[in-house]
Amino acid sequence: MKQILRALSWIGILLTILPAIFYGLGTIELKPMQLLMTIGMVLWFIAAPIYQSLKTRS
Amino acid sequence: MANDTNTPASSGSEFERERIPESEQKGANKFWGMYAGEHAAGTEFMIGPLFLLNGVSLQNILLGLLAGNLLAVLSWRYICAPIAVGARFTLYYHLEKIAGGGLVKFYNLANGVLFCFLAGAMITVSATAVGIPFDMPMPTIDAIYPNSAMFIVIVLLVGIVISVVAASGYDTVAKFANIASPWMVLVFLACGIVALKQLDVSNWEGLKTVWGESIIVAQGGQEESKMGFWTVMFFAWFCNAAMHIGMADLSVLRFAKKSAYGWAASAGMYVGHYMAWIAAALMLAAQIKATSDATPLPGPMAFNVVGLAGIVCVIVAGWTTANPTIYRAGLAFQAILPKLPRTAATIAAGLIATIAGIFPAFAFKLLGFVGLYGTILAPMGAIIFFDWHFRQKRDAAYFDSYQFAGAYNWAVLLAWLIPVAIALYLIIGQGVTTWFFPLPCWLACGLLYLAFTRRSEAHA
Repeated sequence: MKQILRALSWIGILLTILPAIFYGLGTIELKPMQLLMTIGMVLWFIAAPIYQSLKTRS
Repeated sequence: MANDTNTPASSGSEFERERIPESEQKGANKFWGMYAGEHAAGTEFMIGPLFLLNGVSLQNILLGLLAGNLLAVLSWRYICAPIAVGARFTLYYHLEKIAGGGLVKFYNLANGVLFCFLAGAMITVSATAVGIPFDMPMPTIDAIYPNSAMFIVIVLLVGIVISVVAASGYDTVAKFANIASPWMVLVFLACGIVALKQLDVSNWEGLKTVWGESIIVAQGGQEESKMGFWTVMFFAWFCNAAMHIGMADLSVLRFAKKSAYGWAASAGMYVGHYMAWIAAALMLAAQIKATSDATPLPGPMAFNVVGLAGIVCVIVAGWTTANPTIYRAGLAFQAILPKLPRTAATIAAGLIATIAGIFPAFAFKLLGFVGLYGTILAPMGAIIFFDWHFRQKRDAAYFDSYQFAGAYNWAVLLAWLIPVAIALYLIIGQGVTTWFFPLPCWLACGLLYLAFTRRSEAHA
């Protein structure tokens, strides 16, 4: 469970910054970039707090 | 600006009146992470764009911030950190030992009121993001008063929520802020990358041209620089003057094993006060290019570049910064009125901040306010610095047992008030820029303290 949450947190973080870099490189449009960043945000704020709390408990 | 969510002592219950024991001292990693998160605050969205509106050239922003932030880091490392790990007391207790309990209350009042106005600016920043889905009419850059009933209602709602949470759930917000910090830093970076792309430039010369055009639009057809290299440098150095030369971070760095951990401040300066400010300034330039609108409203600016993540980032950054600021203001007020419950003191501080937030001028005049904040509070750090090095001779054991006999040390009070009063006259009466005053006031305060103390000791 912890490993899955950790992976989801990382995906959330990557989806926060990579779409902007791809937009900067001209390989993605503005709207899909914003959508991917929103998905990244949701993933991060769901997975990271649960992962942190499991980590603290263990 | 700083966001003290991780301050180990900010819960108000840990080693407030005793040295930090060796077992409680923390490793370097904690401080690097803490400083990086602390300085990615809601106000960063406001400060970067204000450079553009003041006509600062790109070169002066890049170099001025580079130099100013370096000086700020050196101030943390060589002025604040050595005393923090030497004495290992909070600012308030350290000051109480030198200045007396009554004078610390007076200092707390100034601290609390200034914290409230700072939190008010953060509430305004958050309200500009919350108002987007409601199509709220946004205040203009020269606005002093609120421009609509909806703006007032949203500021009140944001302020009340922040105040109630600050009064009841500080630890939860601190934990949430720790989780949000890495994400917020990356959103700031993403905002900068996207804004740069929207400016559609391929080289440095192109960027300078677009930047100059943005200044002309922002200044209504002229290109006048109101801030040069030195002003930007002094601003970057002293925007957190209360924390480093003002010694507020004694409360944080007293937990450090070594004074070298003061270098950790560089994470905050070069992430929050360099990357984030430049990213925010580029966001305004992109907005001006797209719409010719030069109003630096964080919510709409962030929404335009990164969408919903931008709105949430502005709200979270404003909230996680305003929350501990209101909490600390509440603690300061409670120190003045010890019988007032902490919850009531925090709510009172929150209400003052919320009322300040209704007036957008506090956010739009943030550059000047931050200088004023440093000018008033930072000189007290000089008392601690000069006392520690020239009177206590860096002897922690002696200082541990030292206590000024009396409620008011008049040498401290006069040494603080005289330079600050002169500075306030020059700032308010003569219109001199605030950022030039923290350093001379700090030096004057320290030297006057030594002179007054030696004089009174000679008379005794």
